[in-house]
Amino acid sequence: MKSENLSVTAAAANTTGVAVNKTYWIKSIILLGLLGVLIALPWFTGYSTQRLMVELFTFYAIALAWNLLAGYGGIVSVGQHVFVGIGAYAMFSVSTTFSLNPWLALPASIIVSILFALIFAVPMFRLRGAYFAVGTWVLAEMARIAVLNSDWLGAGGGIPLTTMTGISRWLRNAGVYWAALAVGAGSLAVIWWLMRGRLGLALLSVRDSEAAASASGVNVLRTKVILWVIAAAITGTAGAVAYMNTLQVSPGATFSLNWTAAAIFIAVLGGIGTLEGPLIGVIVYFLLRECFSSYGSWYFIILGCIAILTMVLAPGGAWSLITRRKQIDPFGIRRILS
Amino acid sequence: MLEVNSLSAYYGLFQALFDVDLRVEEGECISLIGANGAGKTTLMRALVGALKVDSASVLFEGQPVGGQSERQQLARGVTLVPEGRRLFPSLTVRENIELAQHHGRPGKWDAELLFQELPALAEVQNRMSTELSGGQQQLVAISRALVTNPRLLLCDEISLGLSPYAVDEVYRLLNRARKDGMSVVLVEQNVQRALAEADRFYCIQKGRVVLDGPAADADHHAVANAYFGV
Repeated sequence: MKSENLSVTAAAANTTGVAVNKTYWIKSIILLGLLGVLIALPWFTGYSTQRLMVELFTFYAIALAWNLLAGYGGIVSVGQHVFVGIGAYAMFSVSTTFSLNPWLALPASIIVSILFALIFAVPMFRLRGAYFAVGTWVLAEMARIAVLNSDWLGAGGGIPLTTMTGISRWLRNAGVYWAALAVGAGSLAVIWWLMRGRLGLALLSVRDSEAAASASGVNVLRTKVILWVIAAAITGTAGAVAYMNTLQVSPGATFSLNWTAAAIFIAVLGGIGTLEGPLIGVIVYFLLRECFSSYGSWYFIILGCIAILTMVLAPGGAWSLITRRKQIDPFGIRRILS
Repeated sequence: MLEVNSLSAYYGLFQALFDVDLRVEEGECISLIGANGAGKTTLMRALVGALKVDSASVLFEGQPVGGQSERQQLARGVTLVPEGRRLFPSLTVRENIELAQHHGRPGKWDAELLFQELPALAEVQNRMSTELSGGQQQLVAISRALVTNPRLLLCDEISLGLSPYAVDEVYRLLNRARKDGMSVVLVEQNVQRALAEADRFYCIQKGRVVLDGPAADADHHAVANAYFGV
C-alpha cells in the first residue's frame, strides 16, 4: 500500500515536471523577446519616450526594493529616499572628481549605498515597527541637511554632471535608458533569485513570526540587515541612474520624500508582497501621471484617493484582483497570505 | 546533560523564577507540572536562550550556557517547540520543516524521514500550514523541532486544544524520537499524562520548585497539593 502510494506520487511529480519544463521554456522565450524589444527601443523611439522609460524603470526598481522590505521582510521604511540621494551623489561626485565616465562611476553608488546601509543598520535596527519607520525618515532628513551644508558636495546648489559633455545626445539618452533597463530588470532578477532560495524562506518566516523563526534557528537580525542592504543597493543605483537623466543633483530634490511616497504608492496600488504588484503599480502610476499631472494639486488628491480606495477595497492591490479570479504565478514564488 | 542551579529569571523588575534547581539526564524525559503562571514557560524560555539569565545558572554538558542566544543553543542541540505551535502561515508544510532543517544541526532527522514516519503529513506536505487540523499542525511543529536534530527537546503545551486521538499521535511521534536517546522536557496541563510520559517530574509553584521525584511513584495527593498550593 505504502509503495503503491509512493509510486503514484512519483508519477504525478513526473508529469508536472514535464509540464513545468514546457511552461518554463515558453516563459523564457516571452521574457527574452520582451527584453530584446526593450533593448532595441532607442532605435525607434524619441528622446521623450526614452526619458519617460528611464523614470518608469527607476521608479519600478525603487518600489520593488520598498516592497521587498515591507512586503517580504515586514520592515516599513519611509526613508528610502536617503538611498536615492546617497546613490546619486556618490556617482556624481566620483564621476566629476575623477573625470570618470558616468556609467563607469555607477558601481560607486552601489558600494556607497551598501556601506551607508551597513553603518546605519546599527542604530536603525535597534528600533522597531513605527519607530523604525520614523527613524528612517529622520535619517533621510539628516542626510539631506548634511549634504546641504557640505561645500565639497556643492551644498545647496548641488553638482552638475559635467562629465556627460562630449557624449552625443543620442548615445547619452540611449545609454541612460539602457542603464535604467538594466537596473529595473536586474533588480527584479536579483529579488526573484533571492525569494526562491533559502533567504526567501527565512524572510517569510521572519515576517510570519519572529519568535518562531528564531526558535527554528533563523538569524532574524542578519536576515533583516541583508534585506535592508540589498534594498539600499537597488535604490541607490536606481537613484543614480534617475539623475543621469536630469544631469544635476541637488539636496532638496534628490533627498525628497516624494521618492519614497511614490514607491509606497506603487507597491500598495500594485500589491504588497508580490513581485508582479510593483510592475502593475508603476504602469498605473505613470498612466495617472501622464493623464492628470496637469491638474496640479488635484492630481495629488486623486492619487491619495486611489491609494485609500485600494487599501479599503482591495488591500492586496491590483494584482490581487487578478489572482482572485485566476490562479496564475508567472514568477513561481507565489505565497498565499492568510 | 542539563543542570540548572539556583536559576532566577526576571521580566523587568518582576521576578518570575526563584532559585530553581533541576537536572535532565541523557535520554531522560522530565515533566514540569504547575498551574498557569507558575513559571513553566519562563523556565523553558530560559533554557532555550530566549530569556537573559545568569550564565552559570544553566549548565549544558558542564558548560555554562545561561543567557546565550537561541541560535547558539540550537547549535548545541537544545530546541523548543513553542506554545501555540507558531507555524509559518506563508509557508507550506514542507517549507516549514525544511527551513528549520537548513538552520539546525545535521543528523538523522530530516524532512524525508519524517514524511516516512508520518504518511498523513506527507500527503499534505505541499499545502499551506494553516490549512491543516490542529493535531496535524502540532505534528508539523514537533517535526520542525526534530529536524534540527536536538539532543534536548523542550515541549511547551504540545497537547493543548487537541482531541484525545491527536494527543496520542503527538506523543507517538515524540516517543519515536526518544528511542534514539533524545532527552525531553515536557510542559503538560494533563497531570496524569505528564506523569505517565515522564521519568521524573518537577512541580513548580509561583516560580519555585516545590516538589520533585520519580514519576512512577508520584503521590497524586502530594502533586495536587503542590499544584494548587494548598
